[in-house]
Amino acid sequence: MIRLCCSVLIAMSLGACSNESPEQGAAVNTEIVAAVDGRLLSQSWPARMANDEARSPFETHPGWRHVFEYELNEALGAFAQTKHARGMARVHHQLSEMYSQGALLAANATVEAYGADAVDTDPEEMAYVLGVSSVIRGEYEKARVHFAAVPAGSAVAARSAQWSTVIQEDGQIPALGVLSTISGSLGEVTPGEQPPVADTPHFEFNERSEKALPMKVNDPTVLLARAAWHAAAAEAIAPETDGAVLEQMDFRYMVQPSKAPAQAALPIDDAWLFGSADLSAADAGFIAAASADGVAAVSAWSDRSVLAAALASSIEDGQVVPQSVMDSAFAVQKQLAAAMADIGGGQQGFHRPFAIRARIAVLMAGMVVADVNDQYRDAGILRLNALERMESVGIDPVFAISVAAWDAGNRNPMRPEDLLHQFGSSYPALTAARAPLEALHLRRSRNAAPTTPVH
Amino acid sequence: MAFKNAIRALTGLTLATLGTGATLAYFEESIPMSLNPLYAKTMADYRATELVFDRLWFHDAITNELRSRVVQKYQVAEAGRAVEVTLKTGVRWHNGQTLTSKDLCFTIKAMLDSRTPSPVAAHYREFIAACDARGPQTALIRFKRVLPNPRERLSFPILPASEFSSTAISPDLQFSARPIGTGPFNGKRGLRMVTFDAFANVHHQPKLVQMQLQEGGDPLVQTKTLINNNVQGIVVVPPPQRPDLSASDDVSMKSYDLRSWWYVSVNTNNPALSDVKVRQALNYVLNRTELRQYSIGVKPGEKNSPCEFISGPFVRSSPYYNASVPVQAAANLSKAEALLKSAGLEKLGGRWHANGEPITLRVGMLANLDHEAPDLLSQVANQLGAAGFDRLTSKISADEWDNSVMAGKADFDLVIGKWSFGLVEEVNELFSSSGRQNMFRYANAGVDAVLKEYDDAVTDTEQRDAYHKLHKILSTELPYLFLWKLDTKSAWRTEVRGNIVAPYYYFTEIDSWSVDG
Repeated sequence: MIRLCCSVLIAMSLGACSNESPEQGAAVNTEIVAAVDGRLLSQSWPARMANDEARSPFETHPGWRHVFEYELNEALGAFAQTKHARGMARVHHQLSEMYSQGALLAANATVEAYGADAVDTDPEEMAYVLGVSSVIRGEYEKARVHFAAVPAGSAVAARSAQWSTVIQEDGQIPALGVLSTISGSLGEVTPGEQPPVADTPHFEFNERSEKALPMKVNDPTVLLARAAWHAAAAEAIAPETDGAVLEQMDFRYMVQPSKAPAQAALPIDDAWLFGSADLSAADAGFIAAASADGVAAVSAWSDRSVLAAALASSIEDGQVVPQSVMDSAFAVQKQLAAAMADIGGGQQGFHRPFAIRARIAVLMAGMVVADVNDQYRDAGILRLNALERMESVGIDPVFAISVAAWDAGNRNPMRPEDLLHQFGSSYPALTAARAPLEALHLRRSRNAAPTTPVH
Repeated sequence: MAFKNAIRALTGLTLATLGTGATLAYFEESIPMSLNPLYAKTMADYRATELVFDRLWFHDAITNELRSRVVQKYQVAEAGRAVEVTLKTGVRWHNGQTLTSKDLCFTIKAMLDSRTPSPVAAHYREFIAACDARGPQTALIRFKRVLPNPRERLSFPILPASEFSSTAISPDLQFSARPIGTGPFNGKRGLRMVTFDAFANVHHQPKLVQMQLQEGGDPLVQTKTLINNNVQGIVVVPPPQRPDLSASDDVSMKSYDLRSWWYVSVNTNNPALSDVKVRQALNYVLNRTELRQYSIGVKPGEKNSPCEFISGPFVRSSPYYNASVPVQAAANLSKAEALLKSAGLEKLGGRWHANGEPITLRVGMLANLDHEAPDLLSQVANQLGAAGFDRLTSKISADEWDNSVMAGKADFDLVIGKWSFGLVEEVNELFSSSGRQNMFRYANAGVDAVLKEYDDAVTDTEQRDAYHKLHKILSTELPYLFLWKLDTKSAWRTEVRGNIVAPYYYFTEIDSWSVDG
C-alpha cells in the first residue's frame, strides 16, 4: 500500500511556485499523488466512472443528472417517469434522511428556545412540542414529563395522549402508521410520488401576556411522519436484494444512533453510490461500523474501504486530527483527478466535480468517526469544512439540514436559518422547523451583547 | 517580463519569510478606522480589534459555546442583578503589566462615563450599573435589572487602565492607532497597512509571528496577488472573483457568517425627496436585476446566488423579515413617471424639474464598496439618468463617511452603503428620529411608534411582529431603497492551516492559524 505524507503534497504545491523546472515539478507531482492505495481507489465510483461506458447510464438519464445536482424533487419525477426502481428508492431514501434531520432541527431548536430559554409567557401547550422534541432526541423521560404537563382539553391534548402511550409501549420513534394517527394521514405510500405538504402553522396558541399574541407552532411529528413515508416508499420500490443495503445506509443519518451490528461489505449497485458520499461499496459498511465503533472501524476497514484508508493516517493516539483529515481529503481529490485523467485519456470537465465530491466524502467520514470518538469540536470543524467545500459543487440538502440540526443543538440559529431559507422553497415541508428556529434567534438576541449596525 | 520577474522575486521573498517567520499578509475591505474597540465602526475595525483584545466572554466559532480566555470563574450574585468575575492570573497586557480587576472595572467605568462618546458604550450603559473591584483579580459587575444569562451580554473587550489618564476616553487618542490589549497580537495602524505582532501569553500562544493587513484595491489585482502568494488571504472576496478563486486548488474559499444588506439611503431633507411619492418613484426607477448583474455579476435566474433582493431592512432568512412585502426586482418606469407627476414634478426636455428647476441628484457611495460591487455607483447613476434625473456622483472616503455622512452633515441626496449585523439585527438606530445612525435624520411618527413597540415588547413574538410592521412601513415610506443581501466569502491560500473563521468577529480563533512551509 502506497502512502505518502500529505504535508509532502502541500510542500510540493509551494514548490510549484518557485523556479524549479517544469520537468522537476511534473516528476514530483506524479510521485506524490498516492494518498490511498491505487487499487482501492480504482474501486471508487469517481474512478470507475471516468470510463465512458461505466458513466453512460448516469449521463443519459435525467434522473441521475438531478441526483448529481441534488435536485431531489426533479430526480424523483424523472425516475418515476421511467419507472427506475433503484433511482426512486435512492431518492426516497435521501428525502427520508432529509426530513429526519429536519425533525431533529425542529426538536433541537424547540428544546433550546422553549426549554432552555423558556419564559413565563410561553403557552402551556408548548409542553406538547417539547415532548415530541424530547422523543426525537431520545430523551424519553423528559418527554413523559412534558406530555404530562399538556393541559387537558387543549388542541394538542389528544396528540399528547397518543405520544405518551406510544413511548410507554415502545420507547422509540414509532412507525409511519402510528405517526399518521397522531399528525394526520399522508396518504398511501406511493413510490415516485410525494405526500402533500400541510399548511403551517399547524397550531396557534396565545402567549400568556397582556397582549396574548398568537404564537405560531408546528408539530415536529409531521416531519417524522414525512421521513417515515419516504422510508416506506424506498423500501417498497427497492429491489429485494437491496434491503440490507438500505439498512446499512440508514446509519449515516440516524437521528437516534443505535449500536450498529457487525457490518459486512455488501455488493452495492452504482445506483446507490453514484454522486454519493460512499465512494465504494465497502464505504457504506465502514460508515455504519464507524457510527458504532469510531476510530476502531478505521483500522478494521482500511484494507477495503476507500474512506477508511484515507482516514487511517489521520488517527494519532486514538484521536482524529482534523487538519490531517483535511490534508488526506485534499490528497484523495488530487489522486483521483490524476487517476481519472489516466483512465479517460486526459482531463475532462466532470473530473473536478467528481474529485471534489470524493474530498468531501473523506471530510464527512472523518466527521462521523470524530463524533463517535467524543471529539465534538473536531467533528464540528470537519462538518463545517465539508459544508464549505460543497459550495463549489452543490450543497447536499440532506447534509445541509443535518448541519442545521447540529447548529440548532449548539444554540446557533443563523446558519440554520440561512440553510432552511435556501432549501425551504424546494422542500416546503421543512419550513415546519422555521418557527422554533426563529424563536431561538429572537430569544438569544434579546439576551445577547448589544451591537450596532456596522458599515 | 520585468514585471513577471519582479513578481517572482517578491514571491520568493514572501516565501522565504513564510519559511522562517510565519507572517500572514491579507487584504481587508479597508484600513481600520480605529483599533480602539470603543470606536469600532466598520467590520474591518471589529476584525482587527479581535486580534488585539480579549472580550470578557465570547462564543466558540465551532460549537457556539460561551467561553472566556481571561475569566477563571464567575458567579451570578444579588439574585441575578450582578455577576462576580474572577480573572485568571498572569495574563499580561502588551505593555508588560498584568491584567487585574482594576482593568475590568476601568473598562466598565469608561463605558459608563458620559464623556466617552462611544456608540458601543452607549448600549452597555443601558443595562450595566457599576463595577466594584473585590480583590486583585475579582470584580463585581452590577446591572440595572435582573438579567437572564448575564455572561451573554458581557462580550466587551477589556481595556488597560494603565494606558489612560481618566475614564473619559475619546476617539482621537493615540491608543486608537497604537492600542494595548491582552489579545494574541499587538497592533500598529499606519496609513497604508496595519501590522500585528504576536504576543505570547498564558492564555494565547499564536503560531503566527506577524500579520499584515492591507487595504484591498482593484479586485483583479487582489486575486492575482493572492494567486501569486504575495498575500495569503482576502477577507472579503469580490463576487466577480469568486469563481476563479473557487477553481484554484491553491486557495480555499471560506464562509463567513455575517448578515449584510445593501441600500440607497435617501436624503428626506431634500425638498423633492421629502415627498414619499418621489421616493417611491425612485424605487421603481431602479432595475435591481440589472444592477446586480452588472456590478455583482449574478445573472438573472441564477440558482443559489449569494446576492438576494430584499424589500426591507433585514435579510430574507431573518425572523424579522416580512415575507409578505414583495421585492421590486425590475424597474417600472411608467409607474415611476406617474408618481413623479402626481408629486408635482414636471418633465421638461426629458429632465425632471421641481418648481421650474431641474433636479440634480448628488449620489455618493462608500468608496471601498466599489471593490465588492464594481461600478455600482455608475450603474445607479445611469439608471437615474435614463429616468430623467441629472446627477453628480462621488465616492465617499471612510473619513468623510464617518465625519460627514454619519454625522448628518452630508451634502448628498442618495448614498449607497452596506450594513452588517451578527445575531442582533436591531435597526432602531437607523430609522428612529433620534437614531444615532440615522444619517439624514429621517423622521416619521409611525416609524417611531413601531420602534417603541419593539423596545417595549414583552415577548419575542411582540418584538418580531413590531419589526414585521416596520418592514411594511419602510417599504412604503422608503427612507432607504433596499437593494440586496450579499453573502461574504473569504479566500485563503491552502498553506494557511487551522484557519477557523468565527462568525462576525472573524479572528476569534487566530491562535490555531498557522502557515505551512
